[in-house]
Amino acid sequence: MDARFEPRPKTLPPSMRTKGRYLIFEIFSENPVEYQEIRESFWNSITNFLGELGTSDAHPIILKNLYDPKSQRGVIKCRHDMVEQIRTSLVLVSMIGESRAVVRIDGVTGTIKSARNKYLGMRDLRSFK
Amino acid sequence: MGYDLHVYTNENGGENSLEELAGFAKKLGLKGLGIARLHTEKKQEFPDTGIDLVDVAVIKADNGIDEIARRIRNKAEIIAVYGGKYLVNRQACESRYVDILLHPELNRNDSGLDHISVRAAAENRTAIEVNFRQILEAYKRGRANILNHMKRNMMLCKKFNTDVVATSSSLSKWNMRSARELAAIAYLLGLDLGHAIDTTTIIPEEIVRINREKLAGKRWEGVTIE
Repeated sequence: MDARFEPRPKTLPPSMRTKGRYLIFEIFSENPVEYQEIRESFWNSITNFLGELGTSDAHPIILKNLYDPKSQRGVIKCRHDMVEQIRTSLVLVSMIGESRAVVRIDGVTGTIKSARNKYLGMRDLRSFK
Repeated sequence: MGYDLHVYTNENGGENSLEELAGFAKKLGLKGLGIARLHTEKKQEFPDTGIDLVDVAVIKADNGIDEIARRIRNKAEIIAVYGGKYLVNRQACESRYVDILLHPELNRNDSGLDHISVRAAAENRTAIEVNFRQILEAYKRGRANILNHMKRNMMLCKKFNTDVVATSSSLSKWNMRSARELAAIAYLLGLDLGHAIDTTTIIPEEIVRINREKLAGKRWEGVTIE
């Protein structure tokens, strides 16, 4: 059977889902950096600092489609009570790929929508009432 | 918006010029920078960079910390002590002229502070530093040990209500971090979130303000002239 039609578990009701937070990060680096390099250095730093158990608790996800290589800004999702741990792990990133870099967290939001609207400037006509 | 009170320029062993550091600090959203120099070096003249630049004299000596601090009290905005040795740490905590004790756990197998020192630091309003560079440059086992020692110091600071200052201690602009990120480290070391944020905002600001008032002759022991 095609994997697309494989029966899948239903989405949990909102009250039973784990709450997430979205950290909007900005990278200052010597040279422009690629998404792959960012992903690798973020994962290295998080797993080194938090360990495998801590990383599984934090459940970080770097959202590929929200990364803007021009402004070097993007979004990383994590569990709502592990924000400070992820923030500290990203502080410890000093190299991305071959270039020295500093990661700054611009803000933390509860939804992707507000992250896009407030920090990434992705507004559309529906944003204005 | 916050302060990073421990940064080195290329005149004091760092990599970048004052203007470069100030420009990068602006990008990171910092309000002020503490430019560190040895107490034996001459005070630097700061150009106008749009950021609050603070002169920090670092005492690097094994004995007579109190005497040196008293002598240079009127010559620097902030007096810090290069910690690491237990006796130096203790002398710094017991001196009322010292503002900040830098990295008390440097090159040690223990935390470098005990309850007596931390209690004395609280009485004399000497702040204990959380040094970010030490964490950044260590790796695996070394980093775990440093974090452990810092956690122990933070536990004592919390108990005796001693001031804590989180700094980047950067030699290069690429080691600098924003105030909120430094506060996140202080939070993970065991401080409450509010107190952790104060370590880069209210506490350094207060130290700078009080010392500037004293240098301007507007403040004596507990008395301020408006």
